[in-house]
Amino acid sequence: MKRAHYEKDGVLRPVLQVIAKDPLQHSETELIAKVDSGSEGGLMIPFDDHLKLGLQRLEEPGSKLVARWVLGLTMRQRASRGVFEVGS
Amino acid sequence: MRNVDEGLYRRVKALASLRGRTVGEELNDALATWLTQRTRVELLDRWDAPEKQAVANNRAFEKMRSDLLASHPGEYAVFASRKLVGVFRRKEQAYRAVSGLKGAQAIVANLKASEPHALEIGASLLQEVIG
Repeated sequence: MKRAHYEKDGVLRPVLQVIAKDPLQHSETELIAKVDSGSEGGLMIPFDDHLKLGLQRLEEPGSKLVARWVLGLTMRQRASRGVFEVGS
Repeated sequence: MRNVDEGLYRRVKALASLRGRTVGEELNDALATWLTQRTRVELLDRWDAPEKQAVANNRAFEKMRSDLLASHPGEYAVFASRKLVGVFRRKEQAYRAVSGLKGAQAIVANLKASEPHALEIGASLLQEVIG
């Protein structure tokens, strides 16, 4: 499994190399995903990659998913199913 | 202007006058600067069409939601261009149906009762977003 850390402000943060695909696996893109130790299993990707994979045409109904940071900030998310490959 | 701080507006107006410009011109510059500091403008342009269609498709889904939940529980409904495209037993069938459609956005809704869900995001990732 490919994994690494990157350094920011003198702190090492864990990352994973991930291949993200649309559910029918017609398109894919490679991402470096930062690991959140409290992750519930989802993968947040930039809107650019969301469009690149065509996931805007496979979205789940809106307003069902909200990202809430520990500090209280919330942000509505656009959600879609996808396929993610981690490791070789 | 409604809901704009009067003192702030007065200062902007005075400065605009000194610079030989209108308040509108100064506001346009300020708004453009505000946008470029917070996001990439071309991304907002690309966001616009899918977002508008998402709103329309979600409205169409919400109107039919309870009927579909009752008549096709557990199945997958596809909405595009503000209309129900079809209901499919398997999600792969729904995904394939979407791939042949036109439009910037579509919804694939699993027809089961579900509550809004909040993802907890760690503070380190917030730093990535705002840092």
